Amino acid sequence: MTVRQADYPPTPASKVGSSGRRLLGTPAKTKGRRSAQRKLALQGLLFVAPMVALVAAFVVVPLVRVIQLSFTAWTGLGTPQPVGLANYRYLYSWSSFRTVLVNNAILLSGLVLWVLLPFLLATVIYKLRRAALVRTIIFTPTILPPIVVGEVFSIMLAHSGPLNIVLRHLGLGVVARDWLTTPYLVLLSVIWMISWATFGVGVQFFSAALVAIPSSYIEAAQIDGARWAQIVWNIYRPVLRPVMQFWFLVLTISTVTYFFPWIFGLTQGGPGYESTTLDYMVYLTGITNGEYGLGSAISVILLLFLLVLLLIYEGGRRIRRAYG
Amino acid sequence: MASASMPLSTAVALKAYGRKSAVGPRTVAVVAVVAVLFPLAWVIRVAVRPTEAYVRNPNGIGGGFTLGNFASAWRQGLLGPALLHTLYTVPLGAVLATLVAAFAGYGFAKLRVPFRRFLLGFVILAIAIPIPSIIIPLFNEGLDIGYTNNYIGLSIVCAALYGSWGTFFLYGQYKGLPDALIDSAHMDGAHELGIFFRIAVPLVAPSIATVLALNVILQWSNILLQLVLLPTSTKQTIMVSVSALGGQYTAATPIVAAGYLEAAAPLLLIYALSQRFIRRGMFAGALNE
Repeated sequence: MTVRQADYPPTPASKVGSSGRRLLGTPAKTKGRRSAQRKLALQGLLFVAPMVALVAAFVVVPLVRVIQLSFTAWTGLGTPQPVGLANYRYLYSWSSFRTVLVNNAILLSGLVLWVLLPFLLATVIYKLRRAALVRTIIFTPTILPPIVVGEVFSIMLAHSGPLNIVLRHLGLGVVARDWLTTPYLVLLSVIWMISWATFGVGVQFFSAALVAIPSSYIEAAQIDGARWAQIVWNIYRPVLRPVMQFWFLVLTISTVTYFFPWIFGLTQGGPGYESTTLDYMVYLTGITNGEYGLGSAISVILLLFLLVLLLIYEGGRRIRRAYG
Repeated sequence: MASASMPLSTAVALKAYGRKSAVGPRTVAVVAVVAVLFPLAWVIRVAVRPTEAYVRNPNGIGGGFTLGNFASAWRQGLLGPALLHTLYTVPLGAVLATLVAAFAGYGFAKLRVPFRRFLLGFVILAIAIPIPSIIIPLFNEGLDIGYTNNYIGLSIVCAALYGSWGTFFLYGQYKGLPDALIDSAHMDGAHELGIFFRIAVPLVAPSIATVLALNVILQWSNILLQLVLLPTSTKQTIMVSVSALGGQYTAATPIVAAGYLEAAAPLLLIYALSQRFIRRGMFAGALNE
């Protein structure tokens, strides 16, 4: 590399983009420069090659493989036997799988809570003198591994657990329920648990963005007699919209398609399949029962579910951009 | 708050407004803090309650104080060896993921890469793919190639699945470095690796620390990969062992709670040491979008 000066004559900085990338209008004239550029391209490739190779081997190949496997029957012995659409047809008529789909649809509504609650708290506490302390306290539980969170809530929401005791003490005994063993109610418990586990991160995101709002805006609105709700709707909401979208996207790819560790810690999918989600079903069918073909078909449905969510998200963004 | 040019009456009104309205927000803040801390406090209390007292009255909080549950969980759950197993795979996985991300992010941000957009899209795709959707082929391939039941194998898989997020995050950080800095180093005759290690890496070092710390936390907690890719009971990680303690052996709840706290304690320690990087990194992530 010491001969670099010779084969790569220094170019005026103004004509060179980021580290040697040619800008338009500066053609590569000499043979020497062209080979230098090939060398640069090779160096760039070397920097990204390990990551790209890992992604190819452990994400893209498995993705192709899971689609192939979904059209086969295979339990690990011998070779996968092609069965066409049989796995998908089976899923279509399998009532437990329908329960799982409904569960995922219901849990999706949790997104509203997971986004709105931290947004509201961030806007409410942001002017307080000890806001930073509150945020630090609230952030701490988000470090806990999801299955530990699941265990925490399986203790909290047990039949004679502290939540029911508190409710009875408050004279709200009629509200006390078997939060973890009643169909549908168990989904509410999951939504609440994830809200607890992700709350602190959300507050952190929104608070970071709130700093960008000049306090004179808020003061002016207050002097004009704006109520809190008006300030939230007309100032905080539009300013925080990009962060809201970002947080929404993070939750979509990290939670809505990956409930596994939370459910594993809380209910293991029970009672029956009442708290089983698509990703948990992949585990139960594909790994626990070793039905790789059927499990792969569920994986493909999970991927389609994610794709639909991302398309709705992107579509919503385009529509909003087009109309306002 | 009130600037000098503001009429006095307005300043007074503002101050009064601020004082009056602080009661509501303060109440909300207290409620939120209690709602967040109560479950945690309860579980910690359960973990240090003598088992006999808990069995007699699971709803109470009395009955004394003991650290014996932590010892019992450690012994019954075989958490000592399990912690070692976690340490065989998670730190290496986190370092590998951070390393490949630090290189790839720089390559994509500052170097000529053929098919740059396509390859970057490739890496971003990996962020969005949920691990459960590819867990079956990962398991089967692992049996074929031999990375199942192999600590280093799990580290490499984790580097692939968690490096993509780090690449994208660091790509944004490197992008923010001025090109002139790198170009002038070129003109001084520095080579690409030298520029990377002496100029780029030191400048984004806090972000690299963020990626490393978050990788340790995320990979430590990733029970699905640990469960599926280290299926042999003698190779279980601490997360898997502790979940078995609660599941199949049905130990008393205080012991299970103590075990879970033990499995999570190293993360709280890492968080305490690196919380500046973790939270700073999250801001950067949110505001870059």
